[in-house]
Amino acid sequence: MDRAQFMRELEELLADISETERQDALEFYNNYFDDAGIENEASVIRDLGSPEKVAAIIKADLKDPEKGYEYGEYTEHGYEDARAKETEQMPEKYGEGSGKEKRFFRKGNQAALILAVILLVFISPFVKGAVGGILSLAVGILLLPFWLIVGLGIGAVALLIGGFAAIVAGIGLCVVMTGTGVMTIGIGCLMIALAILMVLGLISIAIRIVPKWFRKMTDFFNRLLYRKRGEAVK
Amino acid sequence: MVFNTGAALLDAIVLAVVSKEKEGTYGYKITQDVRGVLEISESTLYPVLRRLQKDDCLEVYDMAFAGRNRRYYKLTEKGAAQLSLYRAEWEIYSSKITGVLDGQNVRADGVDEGGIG
Repeated sequence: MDRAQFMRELEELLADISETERQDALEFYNNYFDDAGIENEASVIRDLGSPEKVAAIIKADLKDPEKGYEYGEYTEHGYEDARAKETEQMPEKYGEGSGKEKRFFRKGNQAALILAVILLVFISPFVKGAVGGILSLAVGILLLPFWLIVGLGIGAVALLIGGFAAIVAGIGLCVVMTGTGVMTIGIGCLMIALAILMVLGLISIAIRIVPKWFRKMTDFFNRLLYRKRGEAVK
Repeated sequence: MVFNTGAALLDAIVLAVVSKEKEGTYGYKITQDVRGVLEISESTLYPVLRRLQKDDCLEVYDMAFAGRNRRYYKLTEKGAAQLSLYRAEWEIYSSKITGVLDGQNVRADGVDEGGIG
């Protein structure tokens, strides 16, 4: 590799940083080669390492100049920074961003999985119509705890409102018909008690079942996504 | 070298090297001077110079040399202040380390612990 090739590769590798930063860096290294002289060209290239390494160091510092003080270290092997792996430095296209969007479905991206689950909940009625049968059944079973919680929650709220309404109505009725009034109050109390029981049940489901269920779901989607990625790589 | 050089120390060394030239000095020379005392790769210096320049510790100007433009680096007032801060800090730090390595068994509060038994 000669100077021209080195500079050309460096320019390509720096395609995804700002124009000013790129020009500044290229000017510095052009200057550097000029000052080193043709006789030292080979040794300068050898010591600089690869254009990838030079680009990685420049980008690591640009990315996080403050953190650079914490992560980067200048050792006898040069600048070492765990964040800047050389292989990740090559941009695929000119002017492309940092490539964050590609990382959307990486393993452990909980936000993506939650989004997928929410999406499934919303599209499940349509899926039922379109695909029908097995798939919707599977989705239904998968989402059973979800519906259980929603059902219990709505039921509890309805019972609570009904119970209080019954008590209020019962107090009113007491004036006219004492027996019916007391019975209505009693029914209201029962409804509230049932609502409290449902809320307790709901909490126990939320605590015991949901994390387990969620973990299984996450595993499932993880496997699904990971397999897809694996195939794509091959 | 078995000891790693942190970013702050490297900043300090670069500022000291640049400060020696009143009229400023250029990238290649700075790198060679730093390499005179520290075994570091040539690729390490550019980000350091760029950062010091952004932090207003160094100023840059171009001057014609041998038919081309050469970029010179010069210490700013802020850079000079930063350098004297580094010098003071280094004095404290290095004397403590030297003290410990020389076998003076001194605690952090300066009280002599003495040997065992």
